[in-house]
Amino acid sequence: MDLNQTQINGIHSHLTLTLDASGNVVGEGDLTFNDYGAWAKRREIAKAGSEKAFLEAWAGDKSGIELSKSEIAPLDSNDMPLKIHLQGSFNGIVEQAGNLLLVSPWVLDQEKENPFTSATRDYPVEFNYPTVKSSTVKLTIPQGYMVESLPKSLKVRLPDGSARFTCNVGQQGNVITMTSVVTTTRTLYTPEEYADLKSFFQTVVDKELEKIVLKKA
Amino acid sequence: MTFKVSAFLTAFFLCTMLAAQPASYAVDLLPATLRSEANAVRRYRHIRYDVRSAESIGMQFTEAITLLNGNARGFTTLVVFYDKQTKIRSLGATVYDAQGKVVKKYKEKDFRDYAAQDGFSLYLDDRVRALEVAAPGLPCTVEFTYETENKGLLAFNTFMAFPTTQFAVEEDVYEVKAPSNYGVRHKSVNGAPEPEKLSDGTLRWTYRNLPGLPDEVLSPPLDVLSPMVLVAPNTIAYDGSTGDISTWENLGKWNWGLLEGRDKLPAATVEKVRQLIAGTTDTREKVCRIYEYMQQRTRYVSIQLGIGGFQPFTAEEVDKTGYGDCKALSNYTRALLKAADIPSSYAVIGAGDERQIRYPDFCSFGQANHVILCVPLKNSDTLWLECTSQRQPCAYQGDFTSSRLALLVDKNGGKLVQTTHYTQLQNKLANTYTFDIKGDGGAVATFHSNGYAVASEDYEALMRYKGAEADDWLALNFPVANAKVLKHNVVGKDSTVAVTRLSAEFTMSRLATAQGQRLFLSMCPLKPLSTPAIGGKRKLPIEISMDKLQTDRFEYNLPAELRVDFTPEDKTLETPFGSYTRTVRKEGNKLVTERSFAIRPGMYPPDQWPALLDFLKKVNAADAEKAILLLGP
Repeated sequence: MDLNQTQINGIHSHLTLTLDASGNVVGEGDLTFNDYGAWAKRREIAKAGSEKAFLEAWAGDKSGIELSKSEIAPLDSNDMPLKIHLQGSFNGIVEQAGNLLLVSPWVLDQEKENPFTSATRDYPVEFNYPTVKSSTVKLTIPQGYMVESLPKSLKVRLPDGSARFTCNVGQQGNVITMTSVVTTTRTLYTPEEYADLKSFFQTVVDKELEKIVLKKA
Repeated sequence: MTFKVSAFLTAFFLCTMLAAQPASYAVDLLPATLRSEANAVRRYRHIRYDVRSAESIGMQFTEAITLLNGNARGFTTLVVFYDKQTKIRSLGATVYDAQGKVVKKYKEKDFRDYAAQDGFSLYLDDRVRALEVAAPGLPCTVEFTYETENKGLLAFNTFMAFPTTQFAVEEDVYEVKAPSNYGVRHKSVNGAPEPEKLSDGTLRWTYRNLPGLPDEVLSPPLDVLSPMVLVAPNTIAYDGSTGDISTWENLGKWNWGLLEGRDKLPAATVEKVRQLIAGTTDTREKVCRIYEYMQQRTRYVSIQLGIGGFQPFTAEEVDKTGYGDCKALSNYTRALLKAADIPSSYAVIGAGDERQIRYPDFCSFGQANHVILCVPLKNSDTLWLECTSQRQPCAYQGDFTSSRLALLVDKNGGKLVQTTHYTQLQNKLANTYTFDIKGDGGAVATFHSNGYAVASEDYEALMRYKGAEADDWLALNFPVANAKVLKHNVVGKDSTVAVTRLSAEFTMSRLATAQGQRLFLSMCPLKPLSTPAIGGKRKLPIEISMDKLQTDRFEYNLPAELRVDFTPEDKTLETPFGSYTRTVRKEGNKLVTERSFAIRPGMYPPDQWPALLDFLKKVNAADAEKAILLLGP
């Protein structure tokens, strides 16, 4: 029996957003969890007591989300993927700076902080399971606005390829499409590999913090 | 200030048929209107009081609750209080599965016997019999029954429809039978029905088919939302003491009787008081010197024994032992003030968020739970003294006992008066920040905050914490987002003004974000006000009980290589719920934001919810506005 965990924990999100000239953002999206991710989310939902309580807690650190519709299914399952479907307004992702609008697109599952904060590490780093996190955001910008700057596409990986991050940003007309994929295939890293691992996650955090800058045309 | 809460509830009606226990507790018999949005449904409850005389009262109780999900787990436990006045005659419980089939029956001996622990009293007369049943799975139904015999009652249980939110009621009956000379007063509030009178003189109230109250933020407390019937006797017999409690005036007079003669002090203490007040003619100064002396000499310990639940220890006892509960310490302080020829009144009050004397026209014990001291000054000011606190500044009540009625106890009868209301200008939180912006967009910063009156209580908890506890509190409550507090200092208790001062040094990882040659600077880097994530039409009235003003001054020290390209325009928001202003100015090589945010108390109908949310969202959007700085010459 192979004790190395090979089953991948997958988190996939798709979000479609439309921004209007007053800074209002309406959107619709899905979050899908596979394998261990699904199991962990179902436990979280059960612990919260109700879907409503779970969603309030989930939205708690994501300012300005107001859901008009939500669906979480299937709850009663041990191995099926879990899908959370959301619809509503996401006004908190837009900040104003004069005639510029700053948009933070990764609202559903942003890596807000580097999990590794110490300068040095004495013990190995152990992840529970390999993970794939992929996020796609499609943002339609309002009439009368143009893109002033977009985050640049980026591809980084650890020297042995066991952790990879790809961020693609493209624009067609007034629709911006962004994807972010973070993959970790190893579950155990030695303390000597810590610095590279920390720097890898910092790159992910920094890239996901970058804003889309829109300017009034 | 009355709202038609009954308009929200489905209509319920008096039924002249005998109240009957349902034939089955099967869960699928529950109507959908009661099931939706409920964690539990009361299928049936029957409470009956049989008053034979003031010294002999029997009570019968049956209640069956269907638990629909894990949030209802509290309803698997029954606790029945008893003491020297109250004897338990029978106890039982039955658990039914979702189909209404009996799964387990519990007998009287399954209820364990414990001393009643209210969590802070050292001694209590009360004991309890308690049982927690095992649920066979959800949903299920739990039914409890018991009977007590009382040698005298202070109060009848309040007939309250909802013990919590998301709790529906199917059939609920309350009966009181008493001889005509006993005198039972009753009051129906919040849409509760008037009683029917049965042919044998029994008064009966019924609730039927009430959907549960939703869980909505900023709603009035349960005792304002839930249909409720208050029932109280005119006279009480308790532990050898009898009293007329038919009105607040009479209750006050009865309570005075319990205090009489208990304010004597040893000669040495009287002399000490005289020394304390020497050298001043100002009454307020004298009161505060005596209050602070009392604070240093005593500590709060709760002891409720028999009539001791209502009668304080003597002043001599407190003087000797150095401790007492709210009754004893208030009475002791009254005695100390009397020795200085300063009159004061022992004041009975409902304290905290959950308790208040709400009904000046209906006197009942359940509305009060605390005692403070009222000292009227000749200039028509009134000082209210919280005698259980060693920290509180003199005459500061805080929101524990402010803005509500208190019953002044007096030998000529009790009198209801209003306590202090702290206004916005008094409840001020004044914050100043300075930021040194680093090249990577982070910042090193300082924070100074003064909290006045009710706002001073914000930092009360932090004053007691050290190390990891303090770090956790700061991580949760520090007003700035993405901040790491390096060190902090908090001091309180200015002797004349309630103020707490917090100062801190902190760093921020992302005060400014760079994009090319531009730096976007957060002008109000505060954590946003939280708004509910789940939208939808609001059902309950909105109650804002805060009356608070917060001012923030953010000073940014700009390095020489950055120049200001754009600063946000002034913003002003004015609504019935509160107001907001924010300005950004350049002062030399500094950028300064002045922000002011005030919340006003008030009750609003549910249709005002979108307007309130809109105000909060506009505040967040205004706070999030950025200034633009340019790198380079």
